[in-house]
Amino acid sequence: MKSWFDEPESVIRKIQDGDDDLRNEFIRDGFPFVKGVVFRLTRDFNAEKSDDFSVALQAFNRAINRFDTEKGIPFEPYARIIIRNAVLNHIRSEKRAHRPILMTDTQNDQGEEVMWNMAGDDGSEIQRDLEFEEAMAETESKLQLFGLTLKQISERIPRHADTRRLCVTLARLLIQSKMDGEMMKTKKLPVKTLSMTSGVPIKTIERHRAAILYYEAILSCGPESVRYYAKAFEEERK
Amino acid sequence: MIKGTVISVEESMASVMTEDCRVVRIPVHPGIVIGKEITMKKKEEKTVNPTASRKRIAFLVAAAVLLIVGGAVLAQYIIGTQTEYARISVDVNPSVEFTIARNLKVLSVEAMNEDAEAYLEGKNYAGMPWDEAVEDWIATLRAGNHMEMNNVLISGVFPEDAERIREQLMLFENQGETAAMEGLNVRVIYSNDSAVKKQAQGNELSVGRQMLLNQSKVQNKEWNEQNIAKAGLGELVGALLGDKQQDQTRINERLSESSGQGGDPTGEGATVTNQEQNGEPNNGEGTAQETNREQNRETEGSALQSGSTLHEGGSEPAGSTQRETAQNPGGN
Repeated sequence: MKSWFDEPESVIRKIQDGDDDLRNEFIRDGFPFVKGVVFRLTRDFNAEKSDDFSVALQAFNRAINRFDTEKGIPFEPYARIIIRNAVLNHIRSEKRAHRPILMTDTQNDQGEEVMWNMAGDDGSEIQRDLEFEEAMAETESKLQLFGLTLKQISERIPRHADTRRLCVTLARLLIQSKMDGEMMKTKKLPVKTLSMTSGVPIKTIERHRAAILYYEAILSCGPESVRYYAKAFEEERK
Repeated sequence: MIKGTVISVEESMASVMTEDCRVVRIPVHPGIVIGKEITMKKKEEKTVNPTASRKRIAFLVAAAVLLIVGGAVLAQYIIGTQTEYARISVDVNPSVEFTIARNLKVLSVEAMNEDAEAYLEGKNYAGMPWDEAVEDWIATLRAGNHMEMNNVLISGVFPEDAERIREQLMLFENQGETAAMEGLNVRVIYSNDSAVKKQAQGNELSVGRQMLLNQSKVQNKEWNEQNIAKAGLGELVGALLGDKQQDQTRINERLSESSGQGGDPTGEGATVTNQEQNGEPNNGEGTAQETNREQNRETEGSALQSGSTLHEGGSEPAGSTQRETAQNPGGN
């Protein structure tokens, strides 16, 4: 018997077309997976009986509804990210994860000061941007196909602005020249083709593989506002 | 100032994509959600909060002051306890020299001859108040009592402002009734001229004997760098030191003046010095030799007649101390 995640895309397509029985069955089959995600976040062995689990199931259901089967992104990492975001948000909204704000909290990993009194932070309840979350879940899932996480990306993004700009340009070229389809199939960056198309040396492309893949993921399925950052940054010098 | 959007929130860290296409990690804050735009200041763009800055400056100034005061106290302590301030020699026949720190405690003690070395074995005077160390040293010598020790010369070289040491030193001359000093003829001399220490070091003498040597030169006596070390102490003190001539500071100056005048210590300068020391007016008559002879006679005579503490020492033959030493290497 096939488990739910062997080929979930075809099942999800049917569910999205309105097969509610299949949805219930799919969700039931997904219990261990959802429980596992919740346990990783809460370390609660009775996760199934907690509110977090209910929140996680709702997020799982939402992931089924919002998953785009055409993008070639695997469902499992996508669902995992959607569930993780929902559970963490629930934990924080219940103030279970509150901790004293430390002096170091006001700096990012590159020593820049983070302004917490940002626009819209007026003490009202935090409004989640679900569309943004879903788009980022797709982006992260896509990165996971290439064995990358956002933490790794933050460490591998070039420090020099011009190099980052070049990486954004290469990522856009990947999409424009339809190389990304092949890339999703092979799960490899088409270094040679990209080098020939762009005229950028293979070594440079290889060295900045992670950044190019990240920008490609952002440009292809990232949230609109983040895509705008990349576009504006790329055009800054033009 | 740079904008960024939160793209991922994990358990403790969040990822932010900045408008210049970097991905930075920040600690998770309760108000942070995915998709939220935040602003960050670049390090070099940080604006200074005047109140915080003043507080920081005040703190730094206070810390610096504390550090300086602490350093000064520490330096004072080190200077007070670790650096040489004065030197005290005790000449009996076994002669020793104590190096004294500013806190008037003994830094080290050096044996000036083999006898002293034997007696010093197993003794640790470091850290002891110098006057107690001197008393203990004399008591040790008396307990051993191999020599007929009557004459003791305690000499000090210390700065002019070292009033405390001077007072303590002076007390030794009047301590005939204390147990340690009972029956001893103690003479005390001192100099505020640190050059004496260097001269003594160069001649391998105790500072006490160096002061006596200087006296010998000024008075044109027969003792020089070679023979003064072995000369009998009583004889030396009797011949070279008059009554109440404790302060030897000016001797060096006079010595250099006299050698500067003619390069000859037997010249007129020396004569003047000798006369001054003996309280004699210089009538301008007579030669240097005559004056020296007079002085010698006078010193011997006064010592013999007055029955002063120098009587026994003064009448001792020059070789007596050496003989005593030979008989008393370190015990009976």
